[in-house]
Amino acid sequence: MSKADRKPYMNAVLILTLVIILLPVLIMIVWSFTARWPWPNIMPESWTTRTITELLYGSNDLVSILGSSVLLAVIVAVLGTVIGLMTARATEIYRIRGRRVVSYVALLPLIVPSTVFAMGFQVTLIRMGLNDTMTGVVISHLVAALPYCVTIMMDVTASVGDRLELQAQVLGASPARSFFDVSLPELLPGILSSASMAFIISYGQYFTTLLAGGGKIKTLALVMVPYIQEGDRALSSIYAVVFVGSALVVFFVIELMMHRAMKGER
Amino acid sequence: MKLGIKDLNVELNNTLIMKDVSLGIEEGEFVSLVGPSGCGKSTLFKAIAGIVPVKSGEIVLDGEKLNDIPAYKRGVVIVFQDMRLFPNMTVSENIAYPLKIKGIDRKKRLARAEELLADVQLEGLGDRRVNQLSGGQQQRVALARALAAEPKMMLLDEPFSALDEELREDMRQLIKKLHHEFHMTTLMVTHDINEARLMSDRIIGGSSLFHYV
Repeated sequence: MSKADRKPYMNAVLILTLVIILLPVLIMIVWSFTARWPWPNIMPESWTTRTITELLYGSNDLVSILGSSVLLAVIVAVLGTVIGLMTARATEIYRIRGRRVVSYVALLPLIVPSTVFAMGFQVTLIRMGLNDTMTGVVISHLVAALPYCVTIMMDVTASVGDRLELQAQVLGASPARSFFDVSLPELLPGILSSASMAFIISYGQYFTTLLAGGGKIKTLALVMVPYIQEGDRALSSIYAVVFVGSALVVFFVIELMMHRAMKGER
Repeated sequence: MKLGIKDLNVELNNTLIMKDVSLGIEEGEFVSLVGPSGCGKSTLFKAIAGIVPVKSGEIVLDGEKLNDIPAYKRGVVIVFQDMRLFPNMTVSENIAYPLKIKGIDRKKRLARAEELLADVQLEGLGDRRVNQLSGGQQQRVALARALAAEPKMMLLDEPFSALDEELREDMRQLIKKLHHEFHMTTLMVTHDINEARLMSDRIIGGSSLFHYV
């Protein structure tokens, strides 16, 4: 099969993937404004704006919750990626002893179920006096995000290596400068995926936030889950739409800023 | 003497790679280091430039002991076999990079890059991205960038290995010409004895230099 022959099939797969991803979101949007939707109707029987009113003027202050969720997730994304990058530099460039051990240990939080791990973690936080604080929540989210950050950053750091940096150094650039001038631009795609991953993991944390934050640190995931548990489909849906939508907006902004930064450098 | 190396020992991952290497190079000399690949020539270069730690021995350049001076202050530039052009910069920006580090303003450094582009016979290609260049052109850009740093000494690591025969002849002449024009002291690694004969004032055999460990 030639390249041109393959094209229609490729497009079909692409469209199918898009439908699979977008259809549930579309249904959620419809559900957000549904008052009654009895089976087997194709469309809802009656509509409502109750959910919008509840979302905007209800018991939760949407703006501040959105703000704190995004802020928290951005902090986790930045810290996670920086720690991931530093770990990756230590193992891949400076070749510290026991680097194989590091790469396995980094994955440990993935193996332990997060509910189990969150409960143990809460005890530690209480001992340290960090329970019910933002710092405590940041640390607990970081533990959940780091396996991804470290793995992604180790992969990109290994592929970029230090060859360009060493060239910059013999041309007169200090080690720090050579890293920022020539290695960092090459690492940018990896940094972006690590930050996105950490962001979405922090954004979606429920149990860890609940335990480490003691209910005092409110995030979107935290206020959303009770509605789902109550079975209020319309409200759950509109929260889910806000959840997905706000995450997408943040990704878009990050992507835009990265683009700008790359251009500004030239 | 421009460069003096005495009893140099280099260790990588706890294995001795280079044992008791000594050599001397005079100001303005073009010296070739000939030997099979993997005999330690590239490691010697890295040790001189300061990007590989030295276990013992002495490296002296212009009467100054280099051992404890970091790579970026040594004024020794390596042109690597794989060119190592910076993909996030244009051709001109690559060449101007050493000047950017020195804090020379953009206009001046790009003007200098133009001159150097002419020196390596690549006029008009300054705005290209480095991946739009052929292997030979990339090698020239790497050379121009090294010259922009105004190094005390130039180390060429198999500069012709990526080129076909016709281009090699051009590059040989170009390197010889630049060596004289810029009053360089050049140390070149090659595995081609004929090439070494054609180009250098003096040839050092790898086997006489590196005692195998």
